[in-house]
Parts: sequence; structure tokens; C-alpha cells
Amino acid sequence: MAREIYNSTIAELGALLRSRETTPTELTRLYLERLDTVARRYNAVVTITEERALREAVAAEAEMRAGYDRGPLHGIPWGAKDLLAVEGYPTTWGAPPYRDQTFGSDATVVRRLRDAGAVLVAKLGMVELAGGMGYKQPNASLTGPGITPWQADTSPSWSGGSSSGSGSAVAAGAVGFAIGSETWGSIVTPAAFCGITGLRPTYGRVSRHGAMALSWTLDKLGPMCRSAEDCGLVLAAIAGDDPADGTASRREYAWPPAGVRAKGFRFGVLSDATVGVQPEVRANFEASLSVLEEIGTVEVVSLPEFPYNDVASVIIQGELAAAFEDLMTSGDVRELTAPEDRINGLAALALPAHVYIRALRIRRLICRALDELMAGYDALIAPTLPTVASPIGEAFDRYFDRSNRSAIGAAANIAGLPGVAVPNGFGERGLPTSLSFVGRAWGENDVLAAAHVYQQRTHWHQRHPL
Amino acid sequence: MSTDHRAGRPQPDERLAEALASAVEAMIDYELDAEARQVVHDTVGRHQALAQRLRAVPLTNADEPDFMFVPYRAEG
Repeated sequence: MAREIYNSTIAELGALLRSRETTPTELTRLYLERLDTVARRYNAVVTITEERALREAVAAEAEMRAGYDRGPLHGIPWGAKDLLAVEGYPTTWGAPPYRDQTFGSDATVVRRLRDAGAVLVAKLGMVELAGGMGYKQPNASLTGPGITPWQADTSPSWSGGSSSGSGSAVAAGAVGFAIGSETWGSIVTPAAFCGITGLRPTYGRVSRHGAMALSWTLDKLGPMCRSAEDCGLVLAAIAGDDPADGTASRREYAWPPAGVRAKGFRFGVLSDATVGVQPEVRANFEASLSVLEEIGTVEVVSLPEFPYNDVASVIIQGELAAAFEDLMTSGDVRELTAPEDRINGLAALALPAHVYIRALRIRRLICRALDELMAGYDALIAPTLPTVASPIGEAFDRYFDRSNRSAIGAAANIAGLPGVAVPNGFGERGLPTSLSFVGRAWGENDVLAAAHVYQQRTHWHQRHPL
Repeated sequence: MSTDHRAGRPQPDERLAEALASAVEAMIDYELDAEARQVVHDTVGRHQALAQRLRAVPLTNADEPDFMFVPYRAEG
């Protein structure tokens, strides 16, 4: 096998499998080996699910040989952020108090990927409790700080979180794709810092059953891949209603949609998109806009005026206090890795109910105001983050001032809107920068189509660190 | 920030922060050291500031929260 096979997209791997240039078992063994050697360097691995992986790979191989094709994910190895329950393996939530925790059945997403023929190779590292306790530096996981594979030898830098291992493992070519989660930034941040493509679906597009809850009304599960097209393929396998999750929508989802657009997009660029960003982030964003102007119209827009960050903060605080009440009141919270995580969440226990409910009332106004704005566009465009990844030993606030950044991240998550982050160049210390497309509710195919065309014209997603 | 002109008494917001921080200590099964207590106090204070900014968004009684609640009835 060519040495670069491990950096192939799902579509490319699928072609190799169907032409029998490789087999599910051969591919699985390759990724198992890379997980145990390469990915561990980046603290991306919690548990390698070798026994299950080989069993699934053998089954996939037999089925494909017999002519039974389950679809694009058949035989493709993947990794699960370690907040997804997998029967027979620990599900640690990235946190020492839960290192031996097990569940008796698979999360719905895990089951759907198994049914699609994908091969689970690992539980991947994450920031403890999905970052809900307010971590301020990278060393906030029982598997150690997540490290981006880019420039790791010369300038070790944070992978981003909380889906840190998912980002690193995909970038390192240690999995075919991964599933991450996002409450506020946890898919798009590691996608940006690891130079991969991450999709945050509309809230309710993917069942959360069997996934750790940080914030029941903000959590979303989504694919982290090496292309926008791959994100669409994975989403098609995991989307759909679920009797076990009352928030999972019955809306149908398919990728590719009938007639994928190549032009005629309507883009809105946030007026404050480049406020406070690093110079290379700005330069790469402006270069991206030039590409987008070739495939559609670009207009400057502004978000409606709301205290987005405050609303998101209050919703998360209110819900995490309920989700982790026992952890905090019992004192087990003192076992968390990051010192600040042992204390920062406690105040949420005293957040008055009327404050939380006020945030939910404002949320309703935000949803309607944003939808009115976005009805005129296929996507709002902004840099995913204002900087490249911070150095691994540095607190986040020392590396960049978060107070000036665009509120699109908070706004989109409050309203449950989909977004895809794609690599768009390189910046300080040779680290990747990223571009985000944020869509209207249920508009995953608009943002994915735009991102796909962008990737066809730029090829940043085909650059790999290893 | 509200003010309390009664001489010698803490600001109402400070009294609330103290009360809520004490409430947190009463809820947990272990003691906080002075540093942790201060972090809790300061975080409660930030939550108060958040709450004030949320109160600045005008709402009427008709503005409902985005709950999801559907009455349940088993099949059959």
C-alpha cells in the first residue's frame, strides 16, 4: 500500500476497498498501528478497540466479498470521542473520576455507524467533561493535553478542544474519520487547530442518546473528517430521529443531495469577522473571500444585537450544574485534571433559576432574529478562530484576547445552527488557519456544498502534517 | 451596578454574592480553602453581572422560554 493511504478521504478509501487494492482488515490494521504509535504522541487515544475493530473488519470484508455493500462507510475505520458509550469498553468522558466507567450498550451514533459497516478502532481523547468546567489551559484531560500534529516537533501546540483527540487523530491519519461533539466550539476549534474539516450539525439532526450530556439544549454530535464531502457522507449515516432522544428530528437527510451546487451561492460576511485576528488569519480569510466571490455573491452583514456570549454562558452554567451536580457536591470534582476545573464550576450550583429561564427567553428571540437575517444567505462566513493554535504550555488567555472576537460562535450554537470549518491556509509558526461557513437551521447541505466547492478550488484540505 | 446609600452596609450585589457563595458551600460535602472560596465568590459575582446584562434585554410576559416539553403518553 502507498504510504499516503492513511490520509485518504472516505471516498478515496472506499474506491480502494471496492477495487480490492486494500481490504477492510488490512486498512483496520494500518489504522490500529498508527493509533498506537503516531496518535499516542498527540495524546489522542484513550482506548484502542482492537477486538471489536477486527471483528467488524472481518465482517465487512466478508460482506463486501459476497457483494453486499452497505454504502460509503462500509469497511472504513473511525474513532469515537470518548463521551460516546461503546459496549464493552470504558467511556471516560476524559475525566479521572470516570476512568473506569462503562455502559451496557452503544450510543445511537455508534450503533448507526456499525450498521453502516464502519469499523470502530478507538475511543479518542477529549477535554474532561467536554470543557464544561471552564478549563483555561491545554492540560485538562486524563490522557494529557491534546497536541495538534502540525509542527509538533518544532512548536508543540494545542489541538483545540474539547474534541481534541478526534481532531488530532484525523489530522495524523490515524482514523478514516471521527465523531466529535460541540456545545460551544468543540468541533470547529480542533478542526481549525488540526487543519481538518469539522461539521457541527443543526441541533437535533443527530441523536445524543448514549453521549455524555454537558448541556442538553446545546450539545451536538458531528463528523470530523478530511473533507466536506466526507462530512456529508458520515452525517447521512448518523442523522435521523431516535425514540431514545426526543430532540432528534425526523427531518430526512441525504448526501450528496440531488444536484450539488457548484455556484450561485449567497454569502454573508460578518462585518466584525476580522476584528482582533492575527495578520495571517486575516490574509487567509481575505484570500478565501476571493475564491468565494468566484462561486457566488458576498455581502457584508451584521449580527442582530444580543448578548450572545452571556446567553450561551448562562445556559451552559445552568445545565452543567444539573448534569454534574453529584460530581460537584460529592467532592469528586477535585479529581479533575485541570486545577481550575476543580473549582470553576461550583458557582453554577447557585445560579438562580429565573436567570437561566431569562436566557432561554432571549434565546427564542435570537433564533428568530438570526433566521430572518440568514433567510437571505446560504452561509455566513468568518474565520473559525482569531488565531492559530496556542503553544502547548500556555494558558489560552495569555495567547489571545477573546474579548474582541466575533460572536458568531455563540450565536450559532445558541440557535442550534449548522457550521462547517475547513482549512484555508497557514499562519504563525506554520500552523493551520480555518474558515467557517455557518448555515441556516437544517441547512447542512448549503454549507457543505459551499465548503466542498471551496475545497475543490483550493486544496488546503489535502495538505497533511504526516 | 446598584448602590446602597445606607452607611456601613455592603452593596446589595455584594451581599447577594456573599449569600450565593455561602449557599454553594452549604451544598457541597467538603470544605473549600480560602483560595477556592474566593474563586466561587468571584464567579458568583460574574454570574450576577451576566444576569444584569440579560435583564437589559427587554422582554414581555408573552416572551416564552425555548423549552421542549411534550406531555407523555405510552402507546396502547
